[in-house]
Amino acid sequence: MIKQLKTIFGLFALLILCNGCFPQKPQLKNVLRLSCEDEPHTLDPRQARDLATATGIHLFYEGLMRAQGGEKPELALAESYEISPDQKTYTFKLRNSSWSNGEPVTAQDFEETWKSVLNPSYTAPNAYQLYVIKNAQQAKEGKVAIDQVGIRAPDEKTLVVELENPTPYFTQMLASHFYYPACKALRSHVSTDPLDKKLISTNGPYLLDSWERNELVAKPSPHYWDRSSVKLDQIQFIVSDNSTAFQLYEQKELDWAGSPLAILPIDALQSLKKEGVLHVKPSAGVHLFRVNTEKAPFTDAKMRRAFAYALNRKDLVEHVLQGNQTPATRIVPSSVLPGPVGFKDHDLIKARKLFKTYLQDNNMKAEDLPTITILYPNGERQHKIAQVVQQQWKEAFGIETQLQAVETKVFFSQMKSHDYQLAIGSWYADFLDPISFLEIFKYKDNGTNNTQWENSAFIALLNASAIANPIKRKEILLAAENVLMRDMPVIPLFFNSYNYLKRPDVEGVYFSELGYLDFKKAAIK
Amino acid sequence: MGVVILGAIIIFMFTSPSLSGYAYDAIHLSQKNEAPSSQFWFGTDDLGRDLFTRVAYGARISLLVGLSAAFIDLIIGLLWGGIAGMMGGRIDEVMMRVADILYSLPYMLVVILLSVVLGSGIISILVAITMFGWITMARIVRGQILLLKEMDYVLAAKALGASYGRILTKHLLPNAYGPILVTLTLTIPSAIFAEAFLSFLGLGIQAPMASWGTMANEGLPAMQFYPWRLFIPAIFISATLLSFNLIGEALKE
Amino acid sequence: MLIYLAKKLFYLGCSLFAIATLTFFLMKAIPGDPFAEEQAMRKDMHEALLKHHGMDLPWFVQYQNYLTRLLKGDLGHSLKYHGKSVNQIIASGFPVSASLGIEAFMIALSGGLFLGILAAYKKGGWQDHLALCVMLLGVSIPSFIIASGLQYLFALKFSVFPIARWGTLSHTILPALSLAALPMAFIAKMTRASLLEVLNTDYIKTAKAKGLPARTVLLRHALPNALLPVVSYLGQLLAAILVGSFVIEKIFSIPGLGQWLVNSVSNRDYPTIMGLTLFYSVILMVIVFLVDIAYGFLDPRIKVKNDE
Repeated sequence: MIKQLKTIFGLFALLILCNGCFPQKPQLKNVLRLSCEDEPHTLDPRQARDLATATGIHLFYEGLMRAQGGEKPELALAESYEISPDQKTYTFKLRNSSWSNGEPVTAQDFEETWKSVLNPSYTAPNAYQLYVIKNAQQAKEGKVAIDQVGIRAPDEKTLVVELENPTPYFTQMLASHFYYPACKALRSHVSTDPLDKKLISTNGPYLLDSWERNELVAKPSPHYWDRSSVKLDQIQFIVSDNSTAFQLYEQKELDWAGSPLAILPIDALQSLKKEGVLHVKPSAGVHLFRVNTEKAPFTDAKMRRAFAYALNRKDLVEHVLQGNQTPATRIVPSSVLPGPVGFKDHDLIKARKLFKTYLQDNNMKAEDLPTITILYPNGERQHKIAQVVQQQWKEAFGIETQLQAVETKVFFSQMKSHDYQLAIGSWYADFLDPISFLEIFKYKDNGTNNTQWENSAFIALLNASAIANPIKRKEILLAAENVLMRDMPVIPLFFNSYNYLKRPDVEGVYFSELGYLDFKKAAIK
Repeated sequence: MGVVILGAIIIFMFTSPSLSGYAYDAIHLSQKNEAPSSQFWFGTDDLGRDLFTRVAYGARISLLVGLSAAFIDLIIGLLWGGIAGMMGGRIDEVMMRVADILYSLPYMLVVILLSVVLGSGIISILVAITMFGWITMARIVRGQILLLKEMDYVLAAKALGASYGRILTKHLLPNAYGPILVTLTLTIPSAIFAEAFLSFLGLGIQAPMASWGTMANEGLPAMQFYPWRLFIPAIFISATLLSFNLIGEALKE
Repeated sequence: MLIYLAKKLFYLGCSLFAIATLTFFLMKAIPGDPFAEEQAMRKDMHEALLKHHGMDLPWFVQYQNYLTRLLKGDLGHSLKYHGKSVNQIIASGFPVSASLGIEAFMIALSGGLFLGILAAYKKGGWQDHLALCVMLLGVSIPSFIIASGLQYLFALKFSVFPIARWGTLSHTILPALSLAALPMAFIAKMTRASLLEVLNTDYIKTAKAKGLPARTVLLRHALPNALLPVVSYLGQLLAAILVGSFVIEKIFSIPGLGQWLVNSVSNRDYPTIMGLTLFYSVILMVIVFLVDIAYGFLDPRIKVKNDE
């Protein structure tokens, strides 16, 4: 029997040695390595939903414009463009460029991609991003033929787009991945496999080199029209958990750690700040409580405002989140919409007064209040926020609230069916305009509203903001936000910030406030 | 020796909250992540709560869940494995395949379903843990029974007309004591850690109440920076298990 | 013998069918769908997506469709990661998980047996106490703490091994050790307890009295009987370890299957959940079957088959 055991062990030992037989990749010098929590889900621009995928799209594709951090996006495939006097028609002249299979990029590529998204039989979760275009929504809903949509390609290098209304942020939208073109093979549903290099072609600064075993590798594309701007030899995306990624960075095996594709461990932030190596960047995202306006005691705006005023956001941001986030006493960040709106943080006097008034109005004592439950999806951060907020409301009003953590998808399900009173959530803008923050609360039915709140004045103001005059427009939007803050169907908590670590010799990476990374001009000194 | 340790932990569990004077959920944000000091004897966690008090409260949950789950797993495992091993043949086959089927199901799916159906709390945690925890015990018991039932004294008992139940309880199970005890010492910690995992998902005790397992979970990412947040609950877990082990060994003699 | 195998295959088929059915209905019973997210999409889009994937049909119809495809060998495509078929996922993840698992299994088995035999042989001595300490630690410290600890000490502080990822032999050491800790402690304890009991039995005492060297008595006579309870555990252990440990793979960024199963449940990625669950059950059943045969070899008195 010993002999048999010895042979078995010998065989196993052989198997282990074979573990060492995975080929080692040759090390290149000009390589940028990042970690991400999750790999891109697709390389079809029309299907991108999350930040990792968006980063991938910006890496492998090129649109009419590209945001690189200036006030306006830079011209990319559009060599020039003209806007009609009524601000509703844009005419683009495309430059000469080609796909990775050698075929030229034409205006038809854009026309057909966008029309395919608006086709009623194509399931495109991002289709609504194109609704600023004339007849786009009607075509998607099948009310109008697709050729009625305001997109025309009179010749190979000219693209004409008609909008529903003057839309000052349209060029910004063109720089987002929602408006990037997909190659013919994707449009005709031939293949969705991103590694099928024979069929799928891309037109961006980088090409997909390999994508296996938790690692995505990109190399510069020789077909890119602006090849000289691309400086790196390789970009590696490594899927890893956050603590491990941090250790890899410390061990110098990564050049970038943390946001936007991953998260730095909260417990590390204090010492990183002390060392002065932490990079902080404001994000166009607000974390908030959704309040179910049809469940007692939050049916009354007084209670909602009371709970909002009672929170100490400064403490929350400084001690719990520790990432230099900004306390939020309004929904839209001031950088996006400057102006007087919002309330004072930790205003206990006002909060308690409103609380008392509510009790008096309803002839109640604090003990008679129904149980208030704070619902949140499980996660380290939400866990901490919930516990601190629970304590803060206890100090303010002397009442006990219950915490309820649930699995993430169960959370979404409960929100959708309005089975909650207070729910922790967040919203990240699709583009840097106040309307991207405000319109999610426009209708009760909106997929991201879920508060059962709707207000006709709010709707009217949002509709009225579809004008060209930027000053007047901002006034209207401020008024709308004030309506929202008066009714408080959502309690703002903080504006998120991106915390990341980056090697000092890495430069040229454009980190969009919208949360994706753009590597076109990235370089290592 | 084991009883001494266990006794100390239990005494600690009951007396320390009054000793420390802090509530288990009292948050002191500006004193977060402090090392053990004269003010906070075990230090504070990431929200500035006193770990000394929290560990005491955590003991209740961890011990309650750990022991109950292990006990339930033991009973079910003994019965299932015992009957399967004793009966043999088709009954054995079916019973073990049922165990295999249960073992193959994605644990997370069942957990989520339980959380929706039963809500959160101790009951649902116990159901979630014991639903699958008995399988290892059952397998080991069955293995032992298969061996022991061919022993001479069992064959003799059979020849004398003893019923299956009697053989099982009087002859087989007591002689399988060793492996059963060893498996039990595995079941308790796995129950404690399963509880921590499930609480994080939202199935079990809700925050701010915490068990040793959840405290260890929360202390893990901070290991590099604030090691006491991990080590103190972990030491308590190890000490408790050590005491159970020692008690178990002593009982065997 | 052939009838025995045929019967086993029949039971295997029934079990797989039961697992597929149970998993399917469990999946559909829990709230949430693959396309629900924080930045929720518009209702009409969401519904269109559900319709596109046939999820608006009644459960039974969906179940039938799935079974039909399954019988044709089509495990489907991931709903979340477009372009990845479940077969691809298994083909790329399983070799990694399996090689890590086998390595950990070997470490656990050899280390556990060695510790257990040593402790039983030198009962009461310092070797016994030391071994018991190691066993206690292995059982009371969960694998993720051991993994993080090893990673921190031996990869970050003293750069003996790589922190994470997969590729060379040294990438496998820390994860395999972390994975092996608990099983090793358990095997050691079980072996020790079982061996101690066997060493007290009459026929061992007879063998000793006959003058056989202690080592031979230990290894050739006592050990095979003592190993039986260990073997019961081994089957289940091997199956679980082969498919990958979610926690270890997460901590060491190992591209195995473990993460896939857990993530697919969180993502409600139905085809992936089904495919991986079925794959795992096949492996489990085959291994358990082999273990039952091993019983017969270790002690011919054990009869697993039904005999009249």
